[in-house]
Formats: sequence, structure tokens, C-alpha cells
Amino acid sequence: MPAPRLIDIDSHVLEPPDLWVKNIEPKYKNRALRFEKDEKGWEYMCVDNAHHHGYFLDGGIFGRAGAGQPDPPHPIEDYLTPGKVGYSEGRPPGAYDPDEHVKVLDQRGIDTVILYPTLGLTWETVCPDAGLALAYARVYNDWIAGFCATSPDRLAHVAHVPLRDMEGAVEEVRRVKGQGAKGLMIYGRPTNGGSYGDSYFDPLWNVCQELDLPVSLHATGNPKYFGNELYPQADHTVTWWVYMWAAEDVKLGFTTFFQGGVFERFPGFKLVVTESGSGWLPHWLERMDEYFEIFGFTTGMKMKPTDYFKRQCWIDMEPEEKEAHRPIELLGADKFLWAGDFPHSDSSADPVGELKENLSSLPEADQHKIMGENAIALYGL
Amino acid sequence: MNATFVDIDGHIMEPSNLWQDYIDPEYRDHALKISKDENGLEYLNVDGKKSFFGRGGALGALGAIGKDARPYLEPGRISWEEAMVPGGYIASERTKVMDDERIDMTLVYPSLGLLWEYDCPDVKVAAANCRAYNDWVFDLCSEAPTRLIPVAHIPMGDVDEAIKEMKRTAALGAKAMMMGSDCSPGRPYGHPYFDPLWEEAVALDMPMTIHPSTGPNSVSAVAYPEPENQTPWWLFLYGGETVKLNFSSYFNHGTFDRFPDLKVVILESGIGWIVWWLDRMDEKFEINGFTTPMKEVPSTYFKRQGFISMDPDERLAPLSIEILGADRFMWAYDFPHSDSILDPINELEKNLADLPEADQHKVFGGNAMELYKLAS
Repeated sequence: MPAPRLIDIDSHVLEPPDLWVKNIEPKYKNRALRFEKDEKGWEYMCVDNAHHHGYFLDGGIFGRAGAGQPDPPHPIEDYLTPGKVGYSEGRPPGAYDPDEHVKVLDQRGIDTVILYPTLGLTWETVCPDAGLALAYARVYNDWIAGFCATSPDRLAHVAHVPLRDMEGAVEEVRRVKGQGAKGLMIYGRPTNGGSYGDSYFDPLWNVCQELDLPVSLHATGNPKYFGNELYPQADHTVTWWVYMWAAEDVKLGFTTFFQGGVFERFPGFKLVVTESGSGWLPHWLERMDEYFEIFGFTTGMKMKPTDYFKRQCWIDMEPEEKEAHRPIELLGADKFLWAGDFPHSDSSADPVGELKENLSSLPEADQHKIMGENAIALYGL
Repeated sequence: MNATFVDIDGHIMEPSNLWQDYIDPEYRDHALKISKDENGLEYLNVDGKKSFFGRGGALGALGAIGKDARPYLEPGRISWEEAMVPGGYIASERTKVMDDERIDMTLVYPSLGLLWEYDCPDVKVAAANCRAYNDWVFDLCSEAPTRLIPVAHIPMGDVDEAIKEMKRTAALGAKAMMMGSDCSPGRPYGHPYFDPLWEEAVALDMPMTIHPSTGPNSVSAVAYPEPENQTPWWLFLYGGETVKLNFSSYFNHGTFDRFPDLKVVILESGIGWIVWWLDRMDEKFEINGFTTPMKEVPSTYFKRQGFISMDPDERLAPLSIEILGADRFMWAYDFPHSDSILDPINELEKNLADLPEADQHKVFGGNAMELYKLAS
């Protein structure tokens, strides 16, 4: 058997801090996304000229977004100390320079990566102006398309499409398809506070189905993520809790697709669940199925949830998930992908090594599917 | 050797006049009751307010085990009184159900009692309603003391009231405490606010159990703040998630370090998630553990102080038991609620058949006998 292709379906860039100031359209010039410092000298992300509070919106610990690299230049505690490591200082070159990113891929033994934003994972929730949000997203989408165009065989991307104006969102989807985006990224839970099952979102699923663009649900720095909503953390550095619950936010958004019958209305729509681990999935599908048997008629679903999953959904595993082979054994290898999460602070420094070790008990053909074949087929790489 | 089968979470259906009859006279005007709304639909009346979820004329679904849920969920079609199965409120009828199902003992939990606590901000009223239920359920269990094991519902809106009711019911013979999973915002049960309760629980060697309950602060309400937008499918699916949140808070606050002899039981939330959740807890602990007060790797605490209940038909159960060992696992029937299946023992035996017999017996009842100190 030939050596497997290795496709990391979810790693990150750290956007240039002046990206929006330099590139936003003139109409929004004085409302550009940028970093400012508060009275303590701590960085915060200035969204529409306002200082917002919350996880990864302020608190001066932005440098840690780049801490997930071999031998990081600072001890992890420093990255979590407010004001100690700034966003720019924390960025490893691979996070903003495409040639350097290709070197990271070479070092790690990865063939192709699909890139996601970092700052783009937080500002949308606190940017209620739909026009401004779309303008921010266009700046990022243009930049990341140019970033990936320098090595099209190695670097691919999904576009960020904000969701507060469906007409504008659909327009942006068509635009990014023309730029070569392989899919879209949306927040784990709707930034408008609703459910992805609401018919409000139907035009988006419709256009993604038409253009065959998979949609990724990604964990975000949503200040209203549900571990926080029910249980506000006074201190932003309680990151163990944040990491535990970030995945649950994605699971919640994912489940609303079932409750709302989205897969029934859009049978060609493709959904990818990212950065949430995969060990919860067999249990969750079993539980969804079990209650479907009794209460399915109260939802928009006509088939068992597992049937929709097997038809229309994919999920990525973290290379460091020791029990990852179990969900794969239970559900089959076809719907599993993997993600390296470079360069975020909770990612592995040797993702391919850990991935291979944690998949080693599976048949070789299944290993190869997860390492790259599934992603190649899904994204047409 | 014959196994003993202990159902650690079976439900009764409270007679609607229970609280009127049993509450302290000074709180009679605040007693829980079933009322009808302007459309003639039943709701659980919580001190003059509608229960967050117990409204809309479908309370009877709590008695629909083994039946088509449709008519029960049709607003106004089947009343609470009509839905009351005899095994739900008459001790001798319940033991007949247990005989038929080969269940030796059942730890008894409420039904309507899962629907009101955080709709009731007045902690004195909440405590009075808990006392009324507890006195009634202890009377019920006393009619079959070797089969029906009383569990007390303690009011968690106020730690002093919770301690008072725990001590009172422990003296009456309670084998465990039930805490509803819905909690005060920002104050899940691991929070140091509750430390005095754990101190007493350890002194009494009392297992503390977390059962799903509905309310405005539960996880199921995050995506659907309006209860009418939560289908029963969603509600049951997410019922366990608030339990998980509460259970996880004991880790976040280092509660198991402060109370190494405290025992916490996770009820009606499935078990397929626990292996993965502990794995994730440990993995994130390696990176960011220093941001919490925990001294040990998180899974250590579960193996020392946690217990979890499986549904008899959970296909993933044997796998979880193989990975974590049989000592932390028990099972529950959930009679007579609509989200459960009949014939639990056969399902359970079939499901766990590949485990060593000694492990099967632990899960069937051995672990429960030991944890709850039940006499065989």
C-alpha cells in the first residue's frame, strides 16, 4: 500500500493585527477591527470601536494563541499572565507567513492543511452590525485566499461567513467559492442566539448544497459559550474549564441541525464538526436515536439521527485522543478526519506521530482514510 | 450465585394533593399543586407560577412507559390523574411491578419533583415543599421497607436549608440525597458555597446523587430559552448535560480534594460519555491544570468518588465498564417515565453478558448495596 496522504483539516493562521486597518473598505475605515490597550496596558480586541469583555476578547493574554509550537519561547504560565506576551510577540512565523507554514507542514510530515482564522473565532459574537461583520469577513477571506494561493497544493482554506444577514451571507458564499475556498467556517452556536435548525438559516444551507461547500462548525471564543452562560467565570484564565466546554458549544449547535430537520430539507448539505474531540459521538448518536424512537415525531426528522450523520456529517479527531479508535470502530472510518490545531496552546507539537500511534490498532485501510483520503474526497483536494 | 438487582433510580408519581396534605400548615398556601391554565391545560403550579417545563397539558407523559408517547404529549388529552399507573403511587402495586421485572430493590425518586425547584425562588417555600414530599415518600416506602428505599429531595437553592433537610431525613433513614441538576446561575454544586453541605454529607457518609431536573437554568434551555421550542426529544437528550455540568464543577473547584470521602452519583445521563469526558479532562489538565485547584489527574477523582448509572439498553455500556472497571457503575430502570423501556433486567443481562460474572453482579446490584448500605 502506498504511503498515506496526510491532510490536517483544521489548523490556524494568526491574522496580522493590522490586517483590517490596512485593508477594510473606506466606508468602514474608522471602525476597523484592531488591537488596543486598556488602562492596565493589556491588549483587547477593538470591535467596532468598542472594548468587549470576555474570553479571548480582552484580558491581555492573546500571545497564547501561538503557544502550541515545539519549544515555545515562553513558559505556558507566561502566556496566561495578562500583559506578559502580546499577540504579535506570540505569533510563530508559520502562523502568518505562507512559506513558513509550508516549512511547518514539512517538519510535521503533513501534505496539505486547511486553514482557519484565530481572531475570526471571537469577534463575530460582539459585532451585531451585519454590514460591518461582512466587511470584516471580506478582508479576512481575501487575505487568506492570497495566503493559500502561494502554495495551492499545500495550503487550503475555509472562508469565514458571518450569519446576521442571510442575503449578505449567501452573496459572500458565492464570492468565496470563486476565490477557491474549500468550505465555510461558522461558529459552534449561532451568533444571533438562535438554533441552526431555524428556517432563517435555510438560504445558507441551500447555497452550500448547491455549490458543494462543506460547512464547518468550529469551537469559538464566544463569550456566551454555554459553560460560561450557566456558570460565568470571573477570571478569564480558568482555561481548563473553557477548554472542557468549548467543545460542548459545538455539540449543541450540531444537535440543533437534527432537532430542526436541516438534513431532511437539504439532503446534499455537508456538515463538518471540528475541534470538539470525537469520543462523545457514539454515545450522542445512540442517545439521539434512542429518544428519536420515542419522541422523533416531535422533531423535523424523518430518519434516525445516525442515518443523517452517516449521510451528511464528518467529524475530526484530535491526534492526542487516546480513545479515538473506539468511535471509529463503532461507527466506521468513513466520517472521521483529523486536525492539528497549529499553533493554538492546547495543540500537540507532534500531531502526526500522535495520530499514527492512536490509530495504530485499526486496519491500515481505515487509518489511511482518516489520515487523508476522507478529507481529499470531501474537499476535492 | 444469584445476583441482586438494585434499580438505583425508579420514580413514583406524586398524587396531586400530596403537598396540600403533607406541607407544614403555615406554607399551605404555597404548596405545589396541579392547576389548569386559561385554555384548560394542566400545569404544575409552583407558588403561583407555571413550572418552566411542567405546563401545556402533557404532564401525563411521565407515566407513559412502554406506550406510544403521542397521545400523552397531545395537550390536554391525558390528565395527570389518568396517567397515574398504580405502581407509581401504591407501594404494594410497585412491588408487584418489581416482582414481574425481577427487581429486588428500588431507590425511589420523584416525578413532578423534577419540574419545579428553580421556578421557586423562595427558599423557605422550596424547603417546605421538599419536606412534604419527603414525608410522603418515606410513608410510602415504609410499607415495603426491604424493597423500596427512600431518597430525600433536598432544596439546593440554599445551603442551610439543604443541610437541615439532609439531617432530618437521614435520621428518618434516607439512604441518599437527590439534588436536581438545574441550579442557581453561577453556582453549580461544586462551588465552595456548598462546602458546609459536603462536610455534613461526609460526616453522615451520605451518597449525594444528581438527577436531571428541568428549569430555566438548564443546558437544554441554552439554545431554546422558550420551553415551547424545546421538543421532548431535545429535553430528554439534553437532560443529562446539566448533570454533567454540575458534576464537572466539582473538578473545576477542587471539591474532591477538599472532601476526599464525598460520594457523588450521576443519574439518568447515560454513561457513554464518561470515558471520553474523563479522557478530555485529563488531557486538558496536562496543559492547563494549574488554572484549577485540582491536585490529582481528574480521572483519579472519578475512580475514587464518582458513580454513574447506566440505562439497561445502552449498547456502549460494556465498553465503558471494560475501560474504567466495574466498580463505579450501577443501573436504573426509570419506571414509569415515557423515555424508558420495559423489561430492564433482560436487557441488562443481555447487554452485559460478555463481562465477567463478578463484574456483572457488581453492576446489577453489588455496587449499590455497598454504596447505599442496603441489607440483602
